[in-house]
Amino acid sequence: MTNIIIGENIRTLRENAGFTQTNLALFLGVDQSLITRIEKGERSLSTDMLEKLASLFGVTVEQMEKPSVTISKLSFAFRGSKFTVAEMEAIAAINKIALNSEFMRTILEESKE
Amino acid sequence: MIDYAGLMTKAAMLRKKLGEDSDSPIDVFALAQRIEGLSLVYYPLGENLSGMCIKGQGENNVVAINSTMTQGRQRFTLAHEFYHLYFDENMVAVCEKNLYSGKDVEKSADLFASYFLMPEAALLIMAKTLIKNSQKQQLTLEDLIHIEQYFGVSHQAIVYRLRFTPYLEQSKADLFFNVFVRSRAEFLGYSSDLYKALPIEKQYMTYGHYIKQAEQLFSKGLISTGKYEQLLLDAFRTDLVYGEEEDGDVID
Repeated sequence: MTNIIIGENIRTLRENAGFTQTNLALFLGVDQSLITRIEKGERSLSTDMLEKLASLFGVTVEQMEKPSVTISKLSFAFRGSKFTVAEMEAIAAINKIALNSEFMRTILEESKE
Repeated sequence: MIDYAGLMTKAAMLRKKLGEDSDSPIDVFALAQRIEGLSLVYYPLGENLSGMCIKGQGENNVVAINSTMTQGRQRFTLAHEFYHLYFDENMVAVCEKNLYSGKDVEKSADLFASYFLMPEAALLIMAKTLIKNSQKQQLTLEDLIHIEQYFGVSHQAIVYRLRFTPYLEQSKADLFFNVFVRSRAEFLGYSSDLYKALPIEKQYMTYGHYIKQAEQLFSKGLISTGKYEQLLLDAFRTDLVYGEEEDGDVID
């Protein structure tokens, strides 16, 4: 079941950002057919890959596992499919910082309650 | 549709809001450090991207600047990201390096940056004075260098902005646009920092809110040492985790 949810979320997030399956395959260093199967829920992702994709899309791993992920607010100056792997890695690195910052904000607020 | 007058007003409004006057040059990086909740990331974003802006909840925002661009261009990009931060309703923006191209929101952000760093009145007064002093009809390349050094922006940003004025005709602007000005600036007595990228050891760096957040969580015992270090390493702050190989602090 989780595989199907994650697969659907990946497809939604990918299409929303304008990435192709090939983009994701290159980014993760896997075969494109694997991305197809993951999106169909036929294959599961390693934790490592799931984390990498979550960073790329700017969502948490928990969000990736929930049904119908909130469409991320990504707005690119141009279509995602034009990005190189290095650029996708850069975007993921910056998103990771924003996600960490959000994580820290949540912990600090919870500690105040 | 680009609303030029509206963008000029927005630039003036933000200057006021951030405690700057209406016509002086701005140290935009120092200014960014004063913005509550803002984390500033330097990262080599490659050939095509200039910056990113990610808005979080509760004024928890991240701006990234391509650290391989010249410092003049980085300052322009930071001002461009301010537009996304304060006036764009999208939560995330990934911005292209080409100036004044792409979506309307990107063009607007470029124009905003130009007005924010170079307020119209101050820029035009300077241009007029330079023309008067040189007794020529139009701005020369040297004049442009004086202006870009004064406002601290990239050469292309100046040429783009002034091509819309009577002080720099289109054909001259096209000619000046792709001229390498670094050595010309040096012979005019300026430092060439504006035309250079950051040194390699500073191309991956995070400043501001993020570091304070991590420090706060750690000092309150809310995260382990390992997690604290991981957070700093994710933000490229190996210097804070392993210490710096420098000669130490200097007090003066």
